[in-house]
Amino acid sequence: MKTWFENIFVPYIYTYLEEGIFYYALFIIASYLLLAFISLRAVRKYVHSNTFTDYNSLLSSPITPGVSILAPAYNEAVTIAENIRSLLSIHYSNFEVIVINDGSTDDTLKIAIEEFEMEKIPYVVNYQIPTQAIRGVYRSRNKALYNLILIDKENGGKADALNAGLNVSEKNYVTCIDVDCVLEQDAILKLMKPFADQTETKVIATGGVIRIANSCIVKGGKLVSVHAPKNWVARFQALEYIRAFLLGRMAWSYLDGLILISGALGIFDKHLAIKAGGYSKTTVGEDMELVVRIRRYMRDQKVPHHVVFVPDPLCWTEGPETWGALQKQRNRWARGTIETLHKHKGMFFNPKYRKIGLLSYPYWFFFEWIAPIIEFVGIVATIILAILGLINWPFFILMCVFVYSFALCFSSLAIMVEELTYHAYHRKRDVLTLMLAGITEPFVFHPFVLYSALRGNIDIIRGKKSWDKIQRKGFEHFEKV
Amino acid sequence: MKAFIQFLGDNLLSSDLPTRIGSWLILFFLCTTFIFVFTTVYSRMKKSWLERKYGPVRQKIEELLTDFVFDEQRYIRHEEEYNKLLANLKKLSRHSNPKAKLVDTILSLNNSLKGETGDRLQELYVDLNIKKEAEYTLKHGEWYEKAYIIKELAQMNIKESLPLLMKYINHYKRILREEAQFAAVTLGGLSNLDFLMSIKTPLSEWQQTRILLELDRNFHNQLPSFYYLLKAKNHSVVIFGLKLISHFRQMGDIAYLEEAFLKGDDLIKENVIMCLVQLEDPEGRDFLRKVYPNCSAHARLKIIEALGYLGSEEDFVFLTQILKGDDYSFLMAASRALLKLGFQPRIKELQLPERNTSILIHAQHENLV
Repeated sequence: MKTWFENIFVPYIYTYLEEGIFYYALFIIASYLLLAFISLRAVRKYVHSNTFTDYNSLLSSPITPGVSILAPAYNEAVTIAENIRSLLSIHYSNFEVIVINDGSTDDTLKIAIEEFEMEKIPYVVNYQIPTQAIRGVYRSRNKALYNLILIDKENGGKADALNAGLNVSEKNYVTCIDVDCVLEQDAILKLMKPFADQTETKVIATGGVIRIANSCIVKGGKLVSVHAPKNWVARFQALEYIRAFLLGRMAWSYLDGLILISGALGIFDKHLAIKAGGYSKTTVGEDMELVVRIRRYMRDQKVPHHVVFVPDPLCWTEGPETWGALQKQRNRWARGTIETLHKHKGMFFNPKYRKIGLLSYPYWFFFEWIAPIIEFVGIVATIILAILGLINWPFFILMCVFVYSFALCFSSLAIMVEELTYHAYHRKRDVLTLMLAGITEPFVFHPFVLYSALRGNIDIIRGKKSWDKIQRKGFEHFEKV
Repeated sequence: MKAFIQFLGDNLLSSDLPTRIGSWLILFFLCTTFIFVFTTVYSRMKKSWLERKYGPVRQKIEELLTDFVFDEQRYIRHEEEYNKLLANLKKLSRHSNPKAKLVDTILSLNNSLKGETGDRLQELYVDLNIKKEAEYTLKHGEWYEKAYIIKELAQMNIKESLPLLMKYINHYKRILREEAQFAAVTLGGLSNLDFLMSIKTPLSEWQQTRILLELDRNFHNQLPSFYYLLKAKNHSVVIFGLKLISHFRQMGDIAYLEEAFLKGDDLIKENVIMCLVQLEDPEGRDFLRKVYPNCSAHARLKIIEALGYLGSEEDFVFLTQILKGDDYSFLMAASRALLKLGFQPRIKELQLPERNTSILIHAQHENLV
């Protein structure tokens, strides 16, 4: 056995494994750096272009495009009234709010009806996308709330609720906003502008930057003051979100290879979303899956199109503050990614789908899905070799330092870009907090995220489909803290 | 630390390729990390330092300009006061930071205050050499600097800059050409609108919105007929022309609209229909009924919607026929149109399928509300 290890495994298999993992890491790092470089150029261009934009033109125009804001609600009795009020006060001139009560078992429907003087109306739903039965459609007796619609339906899950909203929507664009997010005042304006800018290339969806709102001060549904989270779990996420959005998504949008619009904030062309079949009920990553499906549909129709990413921080969301909640979230994200990749495997290196098939999909496959698995294999192999006394310690230490130094570089780059562009964190200590998070993240946060991703892979093999909703504390909690 | 540097140094020249690559990359990452952290700290400190140094200067500039605007008679009557103000402002705005504040404040005041005060601000803008610097930047600056200058010159109503700006109306950089096109309208006024016939790139909806609002705001009472835009080769200009005709309700020869409808795609047809609805021309209704059978489904839907505004009792039979169909969109459009025209549905007499009846009741409730 030992002879086999010494004579065969070590010189051949181990060496190739060791070098293979090194070169794989090199490829991932090179791709991150390339995306960061492209992102920086795109952000710079956007910041310069944005100086000229008077968003009030869109606000005061008689031809402002309409947006339907879809807000699925399940057992949200405690917060539903406040959430609806927050949505109704969005800074935009032509919108409707469609709240979809997805078969709640608490008083969500009753509270919404009473609070907003809703009455059931004779309404024939155009089931362009099949959904669970709609029990009733309500409008307010109060004329000032003419743009509020309440749908009561049988429980079918978030995707089903969104599809019911699509069926009822009367505007040309739809957005699904998580009710527990705080939007910047001009969020909808900024997300609608790319649609207004389109000429020959059709814009099919727009997305914006999500930031972590933990420890920020929110008053009356509006963000008043931005602070770095006090809680370490949220702190790591704040940095992670800055990196992902500013140094990643912007590049993909620039390359026209963006296949993910965050579920918390994104606007879609409604007619295209319906033609593509609406939100999928068979995946927990319905936001990513819809974008991929619409892109695929447009490619099949041979229509030039674009998904635009707006790098302004437009939406502030509460991140999980406990490891358990974070694990649920990342587990779901991993499952959603795998389900989407599996569903659209026909696009893999398929030249018919151009950049999506040749660039984006392979990237997600090799670097977002496979990466945690390869990392895990590397860790396991290292442990085994360490136990057997066969490990090349200098190379192992070098690899660790290599990966750690890259992590430091990338995090500091993200913080620098944030500082030079949006400058959301005014207090010096918030920036120092984020830097400290960058230093400690590879030892604490990253291994946990890796574990959650692996759990996601295992759960999907086991056939897990649940959403695993996270319990939110609410922004008032942070105000008190 | 020493051991680490030693370790790294040894590996930088290693014969093993992965080791060598890894070591050099470690060095690169650590150096760039240092640069990024330094830049972050430096940027933060610079902002604080600039704020401390120029905050009071910027406030002083604002006070001087506010004083100039609200006590302009003093400066008109006493030239020395005006010269003193110029000297003060030039002295205060030697650095780019307060200079930017000076320009922004002048622009902001100019936006809010029109008439003689606006003219005085314009004079100030020229006498402070800001106009000269702007024209220099227009010739030599980066694309975004040029675009900003175009916007600035348009806001300050510097009409003599118009020939310079017109060079950019077909520029390959979108922002630059959009600002130039907008400036062409703001500075050139109605006599300059012919540039729309010569633009080579599509006019986005955003740009259309801006120009429309500008025409509405500043030229509402003197608008020419926009029917000539229907002859443009640029598809987006034709659509824009239709939006202008519709928005300003310009009556004209309906034959032009009919021609645009017959030659255009669904988007043009939709905008022609919108025009006809806004113009409330009975000939428009006749035309739409005539072309209805030969149109695409989308255009036919829009015609049915339009009949709710343009139609009359003569269309009841036509619309009730559509109620017997099974396409939801058509059923809803026909129901709404009938109810807008004052049709009193006797549901039993119509003998519609149950779903169609429900849709009619749905539309009826909407109409009541």
